[in-house]
This record gives sequence, C-alpha cells and structure tokens, in this order.
Amino acid sequence: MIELSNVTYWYEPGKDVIQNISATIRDGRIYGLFGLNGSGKTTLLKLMTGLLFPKEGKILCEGEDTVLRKVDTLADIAFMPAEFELKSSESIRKYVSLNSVFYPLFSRQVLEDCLDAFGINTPDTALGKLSLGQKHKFMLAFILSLGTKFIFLDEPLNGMDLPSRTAFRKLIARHLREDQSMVISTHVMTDVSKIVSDVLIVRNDGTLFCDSTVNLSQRYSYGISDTDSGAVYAENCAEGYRVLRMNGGFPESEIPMDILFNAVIKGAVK
Amino acid sequence: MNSFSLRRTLLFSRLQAGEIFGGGIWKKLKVILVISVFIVLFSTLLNAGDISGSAGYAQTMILVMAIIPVTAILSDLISVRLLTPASTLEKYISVYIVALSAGAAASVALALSCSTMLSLISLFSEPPAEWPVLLFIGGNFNIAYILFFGLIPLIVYGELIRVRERARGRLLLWMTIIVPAISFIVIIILGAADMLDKHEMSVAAGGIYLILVITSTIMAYRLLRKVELDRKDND
Repeated sequence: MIELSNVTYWYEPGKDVIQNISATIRDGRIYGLFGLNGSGKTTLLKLMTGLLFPKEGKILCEGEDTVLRKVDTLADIAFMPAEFELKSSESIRKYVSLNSVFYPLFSRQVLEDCLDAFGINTPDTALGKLSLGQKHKFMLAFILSLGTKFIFLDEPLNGMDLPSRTAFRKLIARHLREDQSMVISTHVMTDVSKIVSDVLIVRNDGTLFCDSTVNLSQRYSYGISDTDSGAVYAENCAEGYRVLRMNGGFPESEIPMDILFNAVIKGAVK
Repeated sequence: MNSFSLRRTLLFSRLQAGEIFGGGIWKKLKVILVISVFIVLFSTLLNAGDISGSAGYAQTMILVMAIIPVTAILSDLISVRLLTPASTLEKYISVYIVALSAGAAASVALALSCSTMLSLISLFSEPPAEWPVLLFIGGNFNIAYILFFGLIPLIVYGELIRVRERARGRLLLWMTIIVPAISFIVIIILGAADMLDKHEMSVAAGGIYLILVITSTIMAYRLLRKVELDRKDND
C-alpha cells in the first residue's frame, strides 16, 4: 500500500496546492481521482509516484519513502501522464523491447490482448504514425502489461472514442490482479464510475476527500424528490431535486459521482 | 534488488541511446553532413582558406559538437525516465556511458566527413596543403583533445543546477561559473607577473581542471538524486 501522511506541497511558498493530506492507497482497489481544473490532481499523482517530493509530510510505498526512488519501489509503480511524447520513428516492438525489461512482471500476453482489444495489431508500426487516441491506447496497454503493483493514470481516456472507453473498462476488469491498485485521474466521471471502488476528491483548497463507494452508499442515500428538505445536498432537475440525504435505514443506493463530487466540492459532504 | 547492477546500467544505457539516437541511418547521415559543411565552412573562413590552420579549428569544433548531446541525454533522463526502475546511480553512470559512446561515434563520423571535405578543398588551395587532410591522425592529433570529454561532467552539473535551483535563485549557478573562471584568471595573472612559468601554469590549470571535473561529477550525482519534475502542468 501507499501511505500519505500529512503531505503538503507548493510550487510557490504560501500557495499550497496540496494541503496536509493523509490517505492510504490500499491493495486491490481502484481509485477515482477527481477535482476541478487546477485543483492539484496531477500534483498529487506526481507526489504518490515520487516525481515530486512533499514539502511537508511523508509518502511511503510498501514502507519505503518514495523520495529515495529505490529500484524496488520504482518497479512497483507505473505512471501514465496526461501528455507524453513518443519517439516518432520508433516502432511499437522496439519501444516495448527497450522499456519492458525493467519490469519483472511484464506480460507480453496481456500486452497483446490489450493491443488487440484496442485494434492496434501491427507491432512494426512507427509510433509517430499513431493518432493521439491510438497513442493513448498503446500506452494504456503497455502500462497494464507491466504488472506493477500500483498504476497511476492521468486523464487516460483523452482523445479516445466511446468503444475504446468501454474496452478500457473491460481490460481493467480482465487484467488487473487482486494485489494491484489503480488510481485514475479524470474529468469525465461517467467513464470510471462503474469500476472505481474508492473516491479521491481534491478540493480547491488542496485538502482531500477519500472514502470507498461502499461506505458512501451506506452513509448516504440518493434519489429524486420534489423537495430538498432534509437533504445534505440537492440540485435542481426537471423532476424537482436530485438529493443526497443521510441514510436513515434505507437500502443502500448507488450515488452518482457527479452529485457526490459537487457535494464534496461545495462542502456539503466533509 | 541491489542499488547497483551493471546489467541494469547497460540496459538503461541501451534504452536511452535507442530512444534518443535510434532510428533512421539516412537522417543521421544528413545531420552529420550538414554539421560537417558548417564546421568546414566556418574553419576555412576563419583561416582565410589556409587548410592546415583550418584543420585545428575543425578538430576543436568537432569535439564541441560531440559533447553537446549530453544535454539531450540529461534532459531525456529528467523529463521521461525518473520512474524507470533503475537506481539513480545506474541512471547517472548511464548518462556518461551514452554521452561518451555518442560523442565518440559523432567524433569519428564528423572527422571522416570533414577530412574528406577538407581534402577536396585542399586540391584547389593556395599554398597547397599536405594531402590528404586527416583530422585527429598523425600531426593533427593532440592528447589535450581528450580533455574535452572532461567537460561532460561540468555540463551535466551546470544543467542540473539550472534545473534544480530554478526556484531558488541563480546564485549557485553563477558561483559555479565564476569560481573556476576566477581561478584560471588568477593563473594567467600570476603568469603575466612572472610568478609562474609556462610549465607551472599548465600544472596549476590542469590541477584546477581535475578538481573541477571530480567535484562536478560528485555534486551532479547529489543533485540528480534531488531532481523533481516540478513543472506545474495542467492539474
């Protein structure tokens, strides 16, 4: 697991992007990381992977400080940034052969299955000839095939069409082992709402909301009502109000991500 | 896993070399040709067509061109490969392996190409030069040229200070430039004041150079361990 203890980060002193965050990334979970533009999602991902060092606090990956960038720690982490460059003249085959050797659990079978599902069937294609969406698909396939314990994806579905988004969810369900964890940062919550087991929301002040969807369903109930009385959070809709209430003995209900996100961002859910 | 493995270091070197310099041979030949034309033109113009003098200039320029790629290697390491599972020491050693290999390969290719061009020009030069012109061979070889490769750790250190100290002001960067510059100026002044003879000046300058190379090699490694990807991207 990855443990964040009282982590604070700033790019300029006095302007905290991440403020006193404590959380645990547990094994076998899929985390949805949400936040408004500029809230610090990418910064948080970089902190968890060891690309940034906390100004205050500590981040431990399997008990090792990520700041040390030990080989074992790095072999447990795969990170797909929102924007990345691939050498245009290099082939898929060459890229994989050069990069995969560092990951002991790399699986060519998983890679081939993922590439097949994404419709990328020519390993000798130059990376420069792939479209933006195809580059993202290739990188996703490669990251999934590395077999690392922690996978961090920053806006992985950028530039991808709808069928590929569905394929992405299926591939995660098929290939993510029980001991692996994934953190997916995205603006499009509907893309990941069906697969996440936990929600991380970076508020605008840099603090973090973190809870599992099971806990949230037990604690809150969601429904459409003609009144907003007694609601923890409510939004107007054509039928009246979409309301989030404390669960007073009702059966557990699935809470839409967008309602939860708005409720957290506006301070209705702490 | 061990914090140092020769196999992993070589695999990392192969990764960097493959992704930075890999690919089309024709493209590389074109680049070598363009740089060679530039070197030959510049060196002959500076020497008013004197081929013997041009050879010395061309050799210096080839060595400068050969060590420049180290900045690309370092930038690739910092921006793309901090998370590749290899220790910082392995990555650091790898920078030198790739820089020296690429530098040596570039030097040989440029030397061959520039020698050919200068030989062709010398057929029409006045006064006639020794033919063929062979750069870095025979009378054109100088052991001091090897010292050029000692500049690699200095460049790595300077580049890391630039990256690492961006947010903390530029004092360290300027100190790194000014202190050695002052040291060399002091030697020149002492020489001019007849307090040091030529031999002593060479020894003193060589000593300072050696200290600089060793210090920057150690300091650059320490800085690399602290490098972060602290660009503020789209959060």
